[in-house]
Amino acid sequence: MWEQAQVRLRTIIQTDVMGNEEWDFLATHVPFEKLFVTKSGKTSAHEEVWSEEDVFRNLIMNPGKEHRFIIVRGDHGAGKSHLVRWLHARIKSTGSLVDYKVVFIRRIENNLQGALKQMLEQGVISRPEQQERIRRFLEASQVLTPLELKLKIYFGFLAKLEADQSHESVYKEAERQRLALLLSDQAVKDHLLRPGGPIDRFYSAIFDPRPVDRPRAEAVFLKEDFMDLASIMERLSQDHRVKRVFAEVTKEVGASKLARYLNGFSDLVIQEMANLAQGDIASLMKDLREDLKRKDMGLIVLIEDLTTFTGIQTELVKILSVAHGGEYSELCPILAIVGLTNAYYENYFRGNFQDRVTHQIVIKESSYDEELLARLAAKYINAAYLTTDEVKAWFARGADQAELPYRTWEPEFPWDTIEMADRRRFSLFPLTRKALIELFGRLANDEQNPRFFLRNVVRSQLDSWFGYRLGVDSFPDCTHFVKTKPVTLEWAYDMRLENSPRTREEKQRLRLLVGLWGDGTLEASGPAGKEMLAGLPLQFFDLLGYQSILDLAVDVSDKKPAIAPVEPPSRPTVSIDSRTRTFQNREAAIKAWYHQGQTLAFSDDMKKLVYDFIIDAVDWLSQGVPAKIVETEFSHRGMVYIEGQSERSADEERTLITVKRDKNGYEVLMALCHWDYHNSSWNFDDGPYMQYLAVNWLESKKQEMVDKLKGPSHEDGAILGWSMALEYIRLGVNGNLHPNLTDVQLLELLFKPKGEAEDARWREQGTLWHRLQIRVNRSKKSDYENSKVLLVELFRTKIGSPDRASLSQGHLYHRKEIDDAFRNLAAVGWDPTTLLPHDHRRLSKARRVAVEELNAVLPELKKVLEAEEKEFRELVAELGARLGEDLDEKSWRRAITQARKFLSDLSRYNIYVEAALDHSLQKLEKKLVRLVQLCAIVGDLAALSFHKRFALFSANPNALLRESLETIEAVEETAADKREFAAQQLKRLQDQYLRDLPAVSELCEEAEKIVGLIVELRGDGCASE
Amino acid sequence: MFRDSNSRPLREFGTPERVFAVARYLLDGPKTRNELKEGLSMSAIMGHIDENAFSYPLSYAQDLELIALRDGKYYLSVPKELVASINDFRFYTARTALSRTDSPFFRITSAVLSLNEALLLCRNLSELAQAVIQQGVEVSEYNMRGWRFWASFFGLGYIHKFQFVPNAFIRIRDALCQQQSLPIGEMIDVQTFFSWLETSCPELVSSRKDNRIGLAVSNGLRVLHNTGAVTLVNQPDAGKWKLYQFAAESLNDISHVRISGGLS
Repeated sequence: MWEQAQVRLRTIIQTDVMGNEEWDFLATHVPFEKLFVTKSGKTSAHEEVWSEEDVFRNLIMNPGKEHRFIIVRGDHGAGKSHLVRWLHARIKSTGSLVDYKVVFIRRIENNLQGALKQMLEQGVISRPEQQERIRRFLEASQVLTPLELKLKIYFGFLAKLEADQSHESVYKEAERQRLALLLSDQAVKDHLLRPGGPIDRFYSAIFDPRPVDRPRAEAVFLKEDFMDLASIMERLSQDHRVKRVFAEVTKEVGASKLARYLNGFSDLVIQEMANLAQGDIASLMKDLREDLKRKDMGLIVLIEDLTTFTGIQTELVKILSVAHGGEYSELCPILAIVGLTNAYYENYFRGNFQDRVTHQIVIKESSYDEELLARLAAKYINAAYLTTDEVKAWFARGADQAELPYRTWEPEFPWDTIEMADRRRFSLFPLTRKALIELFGRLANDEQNPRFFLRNVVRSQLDSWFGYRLGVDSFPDCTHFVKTKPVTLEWAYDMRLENSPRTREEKQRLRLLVGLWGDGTLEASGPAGKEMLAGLPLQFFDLLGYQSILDLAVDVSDKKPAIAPVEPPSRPTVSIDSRTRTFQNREAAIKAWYHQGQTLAFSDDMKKLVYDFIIDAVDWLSQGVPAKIVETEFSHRGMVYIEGQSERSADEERTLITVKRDKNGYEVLMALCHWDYHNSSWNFDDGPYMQYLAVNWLESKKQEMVDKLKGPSHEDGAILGWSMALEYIRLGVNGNLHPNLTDVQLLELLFKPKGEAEDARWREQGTLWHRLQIRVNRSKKSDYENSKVLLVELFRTKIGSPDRASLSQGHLYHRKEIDDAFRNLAAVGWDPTTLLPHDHRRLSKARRVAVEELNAVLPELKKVLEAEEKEFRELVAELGARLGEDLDEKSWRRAITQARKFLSDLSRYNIYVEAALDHSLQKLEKKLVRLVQLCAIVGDLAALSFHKRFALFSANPNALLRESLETIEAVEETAADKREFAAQQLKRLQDQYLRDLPAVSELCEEAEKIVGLIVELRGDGCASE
Repeated sequence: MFRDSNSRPLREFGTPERVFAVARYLLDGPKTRNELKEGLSMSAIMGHIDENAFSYPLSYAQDLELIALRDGKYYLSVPKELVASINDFRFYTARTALSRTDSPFFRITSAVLSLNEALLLCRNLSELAQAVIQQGVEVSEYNMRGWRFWASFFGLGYIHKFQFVPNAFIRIRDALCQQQSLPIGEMIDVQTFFSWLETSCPELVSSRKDNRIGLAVSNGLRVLHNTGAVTLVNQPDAGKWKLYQFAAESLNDISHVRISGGLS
């Protein structure tokens, strides 16, 4: 039974609801009771409300054979075709219209081919030559491919354009040639022939069979077709004539002009495609009417949809609207009933066309009221249960509605029924009147008409009901409404359902049943055995397989009264309406995000609400997360990620928390949305529940957040240690450490708020140490600064939420943790290598900075220290070579004393020596103790800890040693210089002496001669004196 | 405030964090007041500390008997394990502070929790103070500023902007972690469970009206149920207590509670 019913249902409600058989059509027909009839073609004319039977009686039954050209109009899907079809059936069933030939053109293929085919079949075309041409046209789509047909249309327009001689005032010949050149351009041609383009639209209207539920795009050129050409400009031919006209037709004015111009050829091009000559339609109708006149008959023409006659509508309307008599006395009387849309009538039936119309039958929204919809549903439900044989037999008996068999399956419990025209009551099961109205209201605005009501409400729900009975589907069907217009119940009921242990799909279906079928509550009522839930019998839920449905029922007596009157939210700058609208939009967005999987609109606002809630509500201290870490690593709303966000500003992996698209995520967003709307307060009806939901979500996520904030090490002391170590290195590199530094002094240095400008003692440019200083004070300056801030702030107690923490109430530190970190570093000789995590990539950025820098700078520092040590050893060796290997105080003092005495002696002999040298020696004398200490260390260097070695070289001992060595060398150099100078002087003297020696001999000889002379003169005694 | 009305009043200067810092510093040995003050404030480097920032935490630490003064020096007066971690510290301080039913802190806490949903009417601490005064407990807005830090630290609720959100989830979970009298994994009837709970957490008594469980406890139990720490059971034909009623929830009455293992 169910299988057969499902097949029947799919037969009687096809995509084109009009496509079924005559017996089914009548078995499902529900009379229109409210048709708006005017006896004129004017849209403003007086209307009368008639039933369809009134229409038949007053307009179709036409004893005087008056000329009638009746328009049946309404919006898409309103039932125009249905009414025309019913009128046709009614005409056939009456015996009093036998002297009329009835031509009924249905909208079967919904194109010109289909319309002409029906005319051919119904004997409208009598001339053999015309019949042949139309047959060729009907075969055209089988002979030619769609592309070939489209090209024919395209070239048809092109030919009209090129050959046109009658529109010089629109386009001059030269302009037309340029336009033809443009339209012939390959890129333009492709554009016009593209799917959905103008040529495709013409092709579709002529050849393409199409279901009626998709309104066909009108077969016209639009201005947009040419304005859109701008998008293919780069592919356009380089011909300057093309470019010139291109610029014109892509502007709105030029595009409109060209579209209007080409549309003027539409009918001609289409008729040529259909092998129709101009006047063919008029002549064939004239032939028919003359023939009937001769037989003293009249003609009734019923056309479901005039637009199926694309290209020949105008000609058709003209000939159908010609009244018999007078100059047309050879024509028979005609009664034409033509269906068309309101839009078509307003656009194309103007002026004298409206004058040709004798009557209008208008189907309005009020034509299909709730009663009609319910009857329509009941008829279709019943028809689905009828077998084809049953309905055929009924049809054969005359299709009397009162005789229509009633086969609707009815449950054992009471259910909604509807009274039919024949006073019988038909059940609406499995639908209710309320469900029908609600579901109709949830159709898209342009679908709120009988066609879509039958297809998307009656057929879909009945199909799922049959499917359920066959065990292959569930009832009701949610597919049409879950995404477009989701059903949610009042918050408390909605959440009660959401909280129930049912599948997501089951909840969706129950929402539909309770919200659309039932009264929207989860309240139970009724005596035992006749219990109701949501105003629906419990047996209904049982029948549909919903187990333990009473678990959902709310005990009305337990409902908590409102906690307080809800204060109307008010903010001075924003009106209440605007706030309420925003709130409603947000609420709808959250529901769409959760239920339909849409991207969350207002996600930034929601992230802010979630962020503010987390930052306040988590007692970070209890979680062992210092406020500074929270402040640094959970610093803004961007750290909150809402699943399915469209923007990926922050990598989900790196955000602190994700609001999942699950029940908890939905609840927290809804709760905070309500909290925000109620002036940042939980004081509202559902406040106690919503704050519970918010906390519930928070507790489900807290550990994850805390783990992320704590990082892999879970040791805040470790973080402090890394920052402390980095600051220690910065201090050392800048020359602030020294071997005699006490722990108290070092701690003071570490925490002292000093910047590079104050404490950097720059080394000589080009040295390795200087390069290290550049790194610390320049290239990586911000890393060191941030690390220092973390060091100072990490264990400083704070009052209040991390984002609003007050520091004004004094500074008090977790001193134990600071001391522990200090001790840990001291224990490893301040070389933090062993304290660093193995895999720092998992650390947060704030923490990673210190670790990464330590990892980078430590090896560099150690290399520099090695270089310093090497130089240190070399300097000491040099000094030893000069001053003696001991380099103790005695040797230093002796050396300095001797050097100074030497300088002093030189000075005494008026030998010039630079005063600076003596000053240097004096300085050395003052640093004697330090020098002695340094030189004594060299033997122990290898045994020094990292800290001792770093502290040693931080104080730049090599500078002093170098200075000492240079001073000693300067003295040595001076001594050497002076000795050389003295030697030169001496040599010069010696040389002088030797040069002068022969002269002395001569002098001696001369003297001796003189002495001899004197002796000779005065005797020996006088001469020897 | 944790001892009696003569002890130092509730103010925001003496936060749980600061009291924890004071106690922890004494793990390294007794110190004079000056040593404590200079060490905790790092005054040699950071300059002198505001006296309140030091004296309030010091007094509260004494009130909570974490530290004591002997021979001019403060020393840790509890086993080191009780200040080994913030959890241990919370267990101890909550247990101590909330067992003194005559202390100002207890009376305020009890009054706040007894407000139940009326607590949500209070948009800020000033209004909360007024509501507490109406319960017959003398208190000022300043006191409430200090109270909220300890109340949220003890797990009796959450701070959200200027409101206190009552939910005893953490407080009850802490009590469950420490308890040894109730069986794990077995059904405990609701009277027995509450008898234990209200002995362990006497401040929760005031929020209950007969068998109607107060908002903070009810919501706390619901969260415990959702996190799997306990299972709330509504057994037919058994004596029932009422949770705070939510139409959206199917579980509104409970007859038994089952405590899960693995709580720590």
